[in-house]
Amino acid sequence: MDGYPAMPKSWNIASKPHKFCPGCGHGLVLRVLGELIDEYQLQERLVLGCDIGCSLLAWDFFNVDTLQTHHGRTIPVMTGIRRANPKLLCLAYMGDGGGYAIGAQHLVNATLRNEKIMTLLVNNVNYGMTGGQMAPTTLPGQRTETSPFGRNAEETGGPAQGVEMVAAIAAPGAYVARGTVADLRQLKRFMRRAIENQLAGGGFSFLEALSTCPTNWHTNARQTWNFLEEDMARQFRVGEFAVREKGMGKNDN
Amino acid sequence: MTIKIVIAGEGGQGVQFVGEVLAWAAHGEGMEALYIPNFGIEQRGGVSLAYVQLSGEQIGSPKFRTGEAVIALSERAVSRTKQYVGRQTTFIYDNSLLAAPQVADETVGLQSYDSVAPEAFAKATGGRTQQWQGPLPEKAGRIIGLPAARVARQELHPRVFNTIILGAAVSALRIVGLEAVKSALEAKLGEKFAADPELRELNYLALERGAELATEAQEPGRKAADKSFRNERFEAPKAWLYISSDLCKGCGLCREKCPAAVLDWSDRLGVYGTPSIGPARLDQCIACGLCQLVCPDAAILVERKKKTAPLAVTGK
Repeated sequence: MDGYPAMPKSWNIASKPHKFCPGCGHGLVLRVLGELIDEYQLQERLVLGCDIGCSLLAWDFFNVDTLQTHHGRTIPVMTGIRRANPKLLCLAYMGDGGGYAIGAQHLVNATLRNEKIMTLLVNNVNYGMTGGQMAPTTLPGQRTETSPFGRNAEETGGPAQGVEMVAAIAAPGAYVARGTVADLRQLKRFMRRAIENQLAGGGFSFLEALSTCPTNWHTNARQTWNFLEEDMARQFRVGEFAVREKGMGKNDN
Repeated sequence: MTIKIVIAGEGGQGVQFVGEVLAWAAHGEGMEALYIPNFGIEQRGGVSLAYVQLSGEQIGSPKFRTGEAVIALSERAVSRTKQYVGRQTTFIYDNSLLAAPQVADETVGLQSYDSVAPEAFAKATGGRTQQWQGPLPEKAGRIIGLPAARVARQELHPRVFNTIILGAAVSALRIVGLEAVKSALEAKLGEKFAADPELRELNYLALERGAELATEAQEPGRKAADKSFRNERFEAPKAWLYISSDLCKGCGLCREKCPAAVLDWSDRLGVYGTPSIGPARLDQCIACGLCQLVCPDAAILVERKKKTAPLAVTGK
């Protein structure tokens, strides 16, 4: 059989099998994204910016123009590209470390300025690339390399509620949502709206995807699903937090 | 819109022929066409240029600054045509790295006896390989490199080198149809074709081969790197299951999600040398497609079988 039909057309076959760990949610998020790139024929229009961290392994994932930025600076780089060439659709792809830790200032200010870019943040509640250290999003009581007795919420705070924060300061015309790789059809629906918000000339699109990290969670497949669907779902509410109203976008009728 | 094309190469490579046939083909399709050859002493060596303009409306001036397409067939021609390359330009060049015979055209007077006559050009092409020295124009909107000289030499005949380029240009620019080009060739070379029908076949073959080469060169991502993955097909009552152990990393997410417990570890090893997933209880498959949905590596495809046609109702 020629090629592989389960892969979106925009995937770069030469880099497959991709470099993400077994069971990593990045592959799922990027497949949903790839399907939408195909559907909206964005291959020529899209610029994908990768952050440092596991998300940088997406650098040769698609046959689209991709660039790699400094840690946490994906949002400002994409902002610059979008301002220089408004015809492009700019997508900043990052993990929770890049978005809520080192890059949090950019996320806040891009939201405040209502930049016309899309941000896709994959939240796996730890720092995966460096070996599973505690991140701002780590759940209370969760064991990581740097919280071997479980995260102490009194000392280090609770998990960062990034989507709620962005939604609280988002300007009209923004789209803010949180999906999960446990419900890929819903995730695709949210991602479609985030992309459509960009195509319609709306404001900032922000989508967080709750994701899996079996390697650093030290979980098998069943425990992985359980942790995602139960433990993480208890801490993070899935849904749409801000939706562009009709007529807010430049191209809305 | 007017399509402006510059074709450049060494004298004897058949540059002018490509330009003229392109113009005739466009004319045959009812377009306005203009072909200005630019060669002097180049007939006996040096860079030879052909300026072609094709348009749906009248063409105002024979001169232009930027071409929609620039075709450069020798290293020297690349630097000579640099000025015509803009951001929207399709740049086509021969990347087979076979040396085209060159004559130093800086020294006037040498050219008359030091050059290679067109008849001998085909023979001389490919005698030795060259290192590509100069850079390709960075500005170009897209760059298509094709090994036309090598293909001509190895698969067809060195003399149809320019016909391969013609085919590539037609396919890359999509301005005129291949049929129109064939009838233009017929008009231009009809007598030769009549004398030797094999020549017609050879030229047609070269045209099509050129078109093919250009298509391949245009899609470097998907086509050039076409990988194939081991892909096994299994039949379940309601669906065909395709599983590729070359993609399976053995994470087991699908095994957990399958509501009918169809999938389990197989004897085949996957990407990391661990057991890959396989169908253990195919008869239980309900064709829900969840395994395909949750596979992060796109290793599974579920193809639902078409429902059989309902029994026809006969009579009233």
